[in-house]
This record gives sequence, structure tokens and C-alpha cells, in this order.
Amino acid sequence: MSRPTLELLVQRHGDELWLNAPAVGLFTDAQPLDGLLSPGDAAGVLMILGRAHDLLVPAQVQGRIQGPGPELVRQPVDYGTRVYCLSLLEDELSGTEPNDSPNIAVDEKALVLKSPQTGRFYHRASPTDEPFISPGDRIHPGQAIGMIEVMKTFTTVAFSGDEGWPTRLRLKVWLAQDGAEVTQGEALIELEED
Amino acid sequence: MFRRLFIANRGEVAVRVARAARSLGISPVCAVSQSDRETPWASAMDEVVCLGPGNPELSYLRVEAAVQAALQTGCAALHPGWGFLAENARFAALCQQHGLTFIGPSPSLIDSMGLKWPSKQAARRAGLTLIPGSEGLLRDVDEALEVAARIGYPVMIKADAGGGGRGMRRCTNEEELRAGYAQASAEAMGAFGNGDLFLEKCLQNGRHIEVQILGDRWGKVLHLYERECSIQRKHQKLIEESPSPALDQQQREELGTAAAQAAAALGYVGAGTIEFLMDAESGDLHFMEMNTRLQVEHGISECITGVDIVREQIRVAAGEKLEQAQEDITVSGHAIECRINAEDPTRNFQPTPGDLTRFQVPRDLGPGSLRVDTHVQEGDTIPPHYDSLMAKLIAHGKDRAEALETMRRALDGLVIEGVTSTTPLHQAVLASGEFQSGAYNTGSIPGWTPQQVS
Repeated sequence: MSRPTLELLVQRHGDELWLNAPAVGLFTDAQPLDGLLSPGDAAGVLMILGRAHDLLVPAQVQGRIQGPGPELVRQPVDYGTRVYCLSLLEDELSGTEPNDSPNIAVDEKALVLKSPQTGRFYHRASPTDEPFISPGDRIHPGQAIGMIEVMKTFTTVAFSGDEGWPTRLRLKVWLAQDGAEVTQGEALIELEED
Repeated sequence: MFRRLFIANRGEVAVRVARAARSLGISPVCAVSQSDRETPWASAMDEVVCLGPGNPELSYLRVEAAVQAALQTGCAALHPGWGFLAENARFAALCQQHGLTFIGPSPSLIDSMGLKWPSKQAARRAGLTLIPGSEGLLRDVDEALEVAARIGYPVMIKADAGGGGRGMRRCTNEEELRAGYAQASAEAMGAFGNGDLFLEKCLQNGRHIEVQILGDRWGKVLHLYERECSIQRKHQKLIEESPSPALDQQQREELGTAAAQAAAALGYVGAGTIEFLMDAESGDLHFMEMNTRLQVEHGISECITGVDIVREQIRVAAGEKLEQAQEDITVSGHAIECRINAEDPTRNFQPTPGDLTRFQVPRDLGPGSLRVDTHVQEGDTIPPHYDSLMAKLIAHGKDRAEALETMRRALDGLVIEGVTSTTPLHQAVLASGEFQSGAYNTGSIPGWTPQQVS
């Protein structure tokens, strides 16, 4: 029977990568100082209510352990407690950036609808409902495209249209995923001419 | 007594529970989310444990994380506050399973009070009056029509597993009831996997009156009289006062006694509230539901009775006895509470998170006394993740007129800038003749019209 796993959280800090605890628990089985960590490695165990969870190194993370892992063994950790500090390997420094910013790049000229508020964005009126719209659907001014939750209050986000935009539009792609936290002015959907 | 107490909540209630814990010499440890970690209220705790990111589903609502956090910080008891996990029976059971004292009633009691029909049955067995309606769950639409004909329209169809208005229909005649029955059943089936319905008479423009209960493990149950909570918007309370202007002294004693007897019959331990709906025509008080937790508006009951409800809640959870006798608990003066929320009352109560550039609470403006329960400070950012409550102003006077005057001055002296608050709504309600006379109900907010712009 395989043990449950949890992926460590990644935080970039200058030339270092920090791996942080993904949950509250007791940390144990740390990897030794100077050891190498690569994607998919088990880099310790987190005990949550007596149950062991293997802590996995996420994709695109590779480096040499500088600390503090072993010092924390059998210590309680919070969500976000730094359990490893990694120095990046030479080839890694010039390589790909860690994926800590999942935002999709949007062309300046793209037809996007922006979030009116900071909050959580939903594609559907309730978890059991169908999404308001799906990619490829025609979209008209005044039409609801999602809901935004701010302080437990749900407000419908409607497509308002924009002067100078084509009159026949359809949904190209969701830029904010269902349930995503969005900030005011963040792009929610991209539209294209139908 | 416990040495450390874990608070599985945030903000104002976390601050309130920490204060009660310290008064008993208990060290408060609090759950925080990543976005709450650096707040002044979190810094004032003896220790905090970060459960997860700002989204409450990934932090404050994580049952296992909260229990693990309490255990690894050496806490012997856990206070759930209100909201979040406060009425989650599975959470209470998980605490028990890991040797943590859950500050609240037993998991089975939380469970039975959470479902509508079982809670009504328990209330009726305990001697409380129910809203006229069906005897249990309805077999079919014919039985619904039969009951409605007997009690009279309008009626309300409700789902046993319902909540948040789902599976609920108001029907004014036979035709609407036929259609409403099918719709409500289908909706409840879809949302809760349980299409069972019952039917009640629809009582309009009633008053929401609730009784505060405290029980210990030794069989004693006290009541701390009632709170009047009829100033509401969409079932969210805005202003509460105690005692209720709708009851005379005899009704007050009778209601309190009935509620305490019902709670005793349930074997209730801890702080709880039994909610009643007062029929506008007959004046009868009908059981609505029981909340198995501390309520936001508990402070007004503390003012008029002098009992620290949160402190007693912790003491009885530790197995101690309630020291007071019911006769010792008397009503002293009158208290009123206004909830200052980060919402714009002129724009349909739209939430207004943002930077609180000024926040100055008035002090000692008299003629009575003012208590301010809050977790925010000038310079804070009000986050979008949580509910909009910023502060509760609680005015206590020797009588209702003095309490209202104290509140009026407090509202006038309150300075909030950067976010829009519900303060103007409270000022308008307090200035209205309807509120001043005490003759108001849940039907409308006196002194305020939905389209009002100040």
C-alpha cells in the first residue's frame, strides 16, 4: 500500500530555492545537507494526525541542500515553513524559471474581460451547475459569464462589451480558472471575433 | 483547567476567545491563514499556526490541519468560534478521537440540531411549540395539500436537508403548492441528495427572538434571557438588542424557562442559542432552530446579565460547574449592538474590502457605557476572503433610551475611512420612529429603503 504524498511548495529567493511545508504536521526523515534533490524525489515525511505523508520535490526543481532540513527533524511545522533551502546547480541557473507564476501571458491587443473586483472567480452558479459559457460559445453584452465571491457575497460577472470591439464575439479561452483567486483588473476571459 | 487553548478561527471571534482564555490563565494559540499571519490580531496571540493559504477552504476549513495544529502546539482544548467549523459534527468527533476537548456540545447533538426535522422533533419533545405545519415529513403532494388546507395559506415548503434557501418555496394557493412541491423536491434532491419535504405555515413580518443558554456537565442549564434580532437583511442580522421590546416581564421569564428546560431535556452542555419566531398576529413564540455554538451577538447578553459567556463556555468544557443559580441572573438595564461591516449599504450591501486608512473608535461619550469588539486597526487591509464584520459596537444603558443614546453618540463619533461601512444604515435605523418605539419586525429595515443613497 503506497503512502499518501504531498508536494512541497516552491519559493524563489534570490539565487536560492526554498522548499516549504505544504501542510501542518511533524516533519521527519529529512534528506542530509549537501544532498541533491531532483523532481519526484521523496524529501522527507510529514506526519498528520499520526499518518505519514511523503513529501515530494515538485517538477522543475533541482538543487543541493544547504539547510535547514535535518535540524527540523521531529519538529512541528506550519503550512509554509521552510524545510529546505537549495542552491541551484550551474545548469539550472541558466535554465527554466521555477513555475511560481502560473499567469497566462495575454497579448496587449487581445479582447479580454477584466475582473471588476478582487475575490474568487467561479465559472458556474453552484458546484452542481453547468458553466455559464464554454469556449466557442457566442457571447452577448449583458450575458453572465461567471460569479465573483467577495466576503461570502456572490455577484454575477456580466460581459459588458466594449466600444470598438467586433459585434459578434465568442469565448476563446478561460484565463482565470474555476475557483481561482483574482485581483481587480485581472483578465478573466479572452474573446475572439466569431 | 486547560493550560493552552487552540482557537480554530480568525479575526474578531479569535480575539474574543483569547481574551476569555487569558482571564482564566490559559495561553491562547490560534490558527491563521497565510494572509492573516502578519495581522495585529494574530501577533497578539501567544502562538499561531499557519494552516494554509488565504482561501478558507484551504486553511480555516481544513478539519485535519486544525486538529493536528492543536496537537502539535500542546493544546488540550479547541474553541471553534462561530462560522467555519463551529457546527461541524465530524470536526467535533475528530477532536474527541484525538483527545482534544471540543468546546461545544457532543457531535451527535450538533448533528441532530443540523437537520431540520430532527431538530424540530427534539424541540417538540422538549416542550417547545413548533410553527403549525405537517406532522413530520410529507408522504406526497396530496398530504401537502391536505395540511395546507387545514392551516391556511400562505405556506412554506422546506427540504429536510435544506439550507441557504434551497429546497424552499413559498406557496400562496393550491396551484402554487402543486408546482412548488415538485420543484422543491427536485431541487433538494439535486443539491443534497435528499428530496424529503415538510410544510409549515408562512409567518410574515414576525420577530426573531432568541434565548441564550448555558449548560454544564452536571445537569445544570441556565438561560441568560433573550435577544431581539429582527433587524436583518437576507437573514443576516444587523442590529440586536436585549431585552426584547416585544416581551413583557412575564413573557420574558416564561420564554427563558421554556428554553432552558428544552436545553436541559437535550442534555445540553456549553453555550447555545434557541431561536424563536414570534407570530405578528397571535404573539405566539415558535421554535425555529437551535445553534450549538457561541453567537456573534452574545455580547449584549453579557452586558445585561454580567455573565462572561465565553469564559463560562471554557469552564464548563473543562468539567467545572456553573456557579450561578438561575435566580442570580437578572436583567440589568438594556444593551444594543450594531454590526459595523465593510459593506456599502447604498449599493446593495456590496462588500468593500480594501485599505482601512482611518479607524477611530469613540470612547466614553456616555450616557451609558460602550464596549467595542474588534480585531481591526487603522492601517489594516480588509481582505476579500472572509466575512465583512469589522467591529461590533455594544452600548449598555440603565434603560433602552439610555442605551440608544449611547449608541447614537458612538456611531456619530466613529471614524472609518478607506472602506465604506454600514455606519450610515445604523444611524438611519436608530433615528427612525419605528425603531425608537420598538415596534419593528423582520419584514423591513426601519428608516432604510433599499435604494437609499446618503
